[in-house]
Amino acid sequence: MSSTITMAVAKTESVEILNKPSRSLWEDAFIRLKKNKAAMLSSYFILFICLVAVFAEALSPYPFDAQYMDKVLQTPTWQHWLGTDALGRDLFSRIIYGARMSMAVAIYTSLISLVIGAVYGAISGWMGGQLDSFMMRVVDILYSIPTMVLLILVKVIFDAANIFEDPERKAYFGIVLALSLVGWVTLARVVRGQVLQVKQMTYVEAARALGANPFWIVIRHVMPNILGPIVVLLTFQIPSNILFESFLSFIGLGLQPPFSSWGVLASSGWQTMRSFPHLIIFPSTAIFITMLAFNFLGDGLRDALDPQMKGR
Amino acid sequence: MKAINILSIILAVFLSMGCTKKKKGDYDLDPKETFVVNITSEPPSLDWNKSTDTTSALIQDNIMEGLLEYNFDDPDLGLKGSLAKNWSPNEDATKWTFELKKDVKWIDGIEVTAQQFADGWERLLNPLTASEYSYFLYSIKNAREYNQGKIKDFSEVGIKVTGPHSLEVTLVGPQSYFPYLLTHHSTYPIRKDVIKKHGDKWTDPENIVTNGPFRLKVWDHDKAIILERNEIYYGEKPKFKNILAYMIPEMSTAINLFDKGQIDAQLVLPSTELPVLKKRAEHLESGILSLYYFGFNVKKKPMDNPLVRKAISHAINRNEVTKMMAGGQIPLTSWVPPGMFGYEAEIGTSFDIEKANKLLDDAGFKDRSKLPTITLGFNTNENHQRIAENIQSQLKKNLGINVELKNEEWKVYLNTIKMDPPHIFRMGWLADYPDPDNFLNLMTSYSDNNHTQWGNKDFDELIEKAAKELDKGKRKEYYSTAQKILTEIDVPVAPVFSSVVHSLVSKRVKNFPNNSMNRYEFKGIELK
Repeated sequence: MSSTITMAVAKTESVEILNKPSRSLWEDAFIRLKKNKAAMLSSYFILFICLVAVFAEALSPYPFDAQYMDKVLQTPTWQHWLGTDALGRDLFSRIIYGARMSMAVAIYTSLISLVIGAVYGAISGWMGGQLDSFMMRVVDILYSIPTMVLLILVKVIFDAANIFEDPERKAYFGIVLALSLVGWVTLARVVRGQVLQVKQMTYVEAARALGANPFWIVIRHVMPNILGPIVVLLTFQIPSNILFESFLSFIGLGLQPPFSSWGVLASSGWQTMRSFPHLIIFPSTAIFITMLAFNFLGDGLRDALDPQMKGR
Repeated sequence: MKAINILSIILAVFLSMGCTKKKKGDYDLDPKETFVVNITSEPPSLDWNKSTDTTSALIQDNIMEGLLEYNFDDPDLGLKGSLAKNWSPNEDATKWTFELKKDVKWIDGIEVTAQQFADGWERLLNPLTASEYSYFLYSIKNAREYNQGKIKDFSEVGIKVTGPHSLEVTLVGPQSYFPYLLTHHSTYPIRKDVIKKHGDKWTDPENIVTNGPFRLKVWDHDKAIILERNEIYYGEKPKFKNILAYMIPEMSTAINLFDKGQIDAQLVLPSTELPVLKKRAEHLESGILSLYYFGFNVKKKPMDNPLVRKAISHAINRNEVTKMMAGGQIPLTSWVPPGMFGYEAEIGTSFDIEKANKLLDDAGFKDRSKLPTITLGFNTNENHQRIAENIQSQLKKNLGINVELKNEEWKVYLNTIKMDPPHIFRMGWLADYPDPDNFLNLMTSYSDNNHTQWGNKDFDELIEKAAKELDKGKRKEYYSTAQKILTEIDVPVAPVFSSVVHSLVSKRVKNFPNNSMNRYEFKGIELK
């Protein structure tokens, strides 16, 4: 009897273990992320901003470039919630459209630099040897050129090439290209470092021993395992791209009028700060909150994807 | 211990760097003796034969004097002698004689003579100088031929030195406004020996030799210019010692400095802040004989088609621009500005969207997408940016054409419009002398200040005929016809408005020069 009881106990135990749902790394991370209130709030906010950016036309009360000369430089009123600018344009509508430009620049830039950086870094890290040193020296050289010089150069060349006809695309794609051609360098370094680390792992060795195609190993085994740090890096790159874009616009190489991003709005508002502070307060608040949100999310993602890092 | 040592060394290095490197904008001048003005940008050139802009002129007018100067106390804007003691024309105003004051010295002690004036005018006309103001003297006999290289011998030109202090000028024909030209910096005398000795570097502070109430002491490029009182100036010496001219392009920065008392005069104000700044006690306003216009590069497609240019000019609502600027500017479709002889408000292209669209259709651009993107250029400045953005929006709304804005720093911009102007470019013209000739002459085919590449023989002829005409009625008629060619028929330019200058001048400054010619001669200022 006693033996059957113990067996039963063992059985229930094993059933319990089997019933516990198996969770992937990502599910674990998501659960951890959910516990982080600041990060969750931030991600909702970012989602909200993205929706605003996509549906800018429907949401804004006025066209972003409509100039009302009899309403120049008004402080907030019921008709113009955030007031009007020096050309009588509704600031609220311009901030909504600015969200589109700012987010488009930031997200496209991050994605393009991710693709270039990941491919480059993975090849370099995986192949190793002479090719690796050569590829990394190229990165070093690019890294040593001051970012601004490179940005200005790429932007000028791209503008001369005149690829897009659509003025809106033309307005921001030059910046996207310039920023991503500069931004991929950092990503390439991180990806290479991670690949080098993962390459040593036993599961990669096992895959190799089984005769798997190196391309397949990188896609199937290496990439998923290094995704964590990359995602974190990306969430930090997006706000820095928003800042860079404002800087470029500030020195006259960025978005061309009438298109405007938050950076452009802030820089033109800065000129009238003394007399009409609302023109700088609202756009810079938008930049501030969005940057904060991305940073909280980035922090949260880092903690969630790499729990060992937490508190470090 | 070692770490502390290294730290202290680093600290010492930083400290010593802090000591040796002067704080920006600190020139050790006695504030009580220094008038501080913001001239906004680096003067492109202090060579008074060559410069064409107001920033350079401001400095030149304070360090140099010519034959004559404006008498701003005279409501009719008469002239008074500067270096000339007296001057007179012959009966038909074709020959002018000038007698110079004696014992006027350059800062190196050498006397000012009539020969130095002749030298200056020779240099202005010499084709090798390539001055954009050479056409100023075209009314002098054979001057144009000399400038165009048809005559090589300068003695054939109607400029004669008849004594160490006397000068005789023979004109092509009578010209009532000729003496006014001699107030302009391009006609100031030069020191040939100095220019020969130092070449292009003759305008550097250590080389330049001048004769005005101030002398150039420091030229800290892109930062500041310091002028110092000329102690051997022949006239009444200024009552303060220095002029510190900062080059701060951002108006908001400059106004902050003004509020802190670090700048005494800010000569331009951001139009966006005018509603607030106008209420201040330090605010000064002055209508000036000036013109704000957009030029078309008539060699660049599609601007080579007069219909396109006309369409654009018709599609600009000037009232909208002046309403936005809210600074008392007067909308302008004609070329001669209000307040000047020859001004006729009704000349030019009226604001008419329907007509504008029809003109553009007729030009072969019924399908607007066939038009290339039009580039509109302007020099970096908050006010120009604002106007450009408004024009961009107007052309989009009224004509359905896409305009791209391109701004450049002033010096670069001047070069761009000289070499290869964009489709549309912003420019302004400020009267050098209060005569319509000054404005219309600008657009002759041989004027180097005409950047549109446009030239019209009939127009040139009219301007020349008008210059010689002494009968006011006939003269007005010529100018009327010429303006119609310019702004209604060929339309290489679209005038927009006539400006008003707004400035902030500190209460401690007395007798600040505030005049319709926008001449800033600071010698009469008193500081409290």
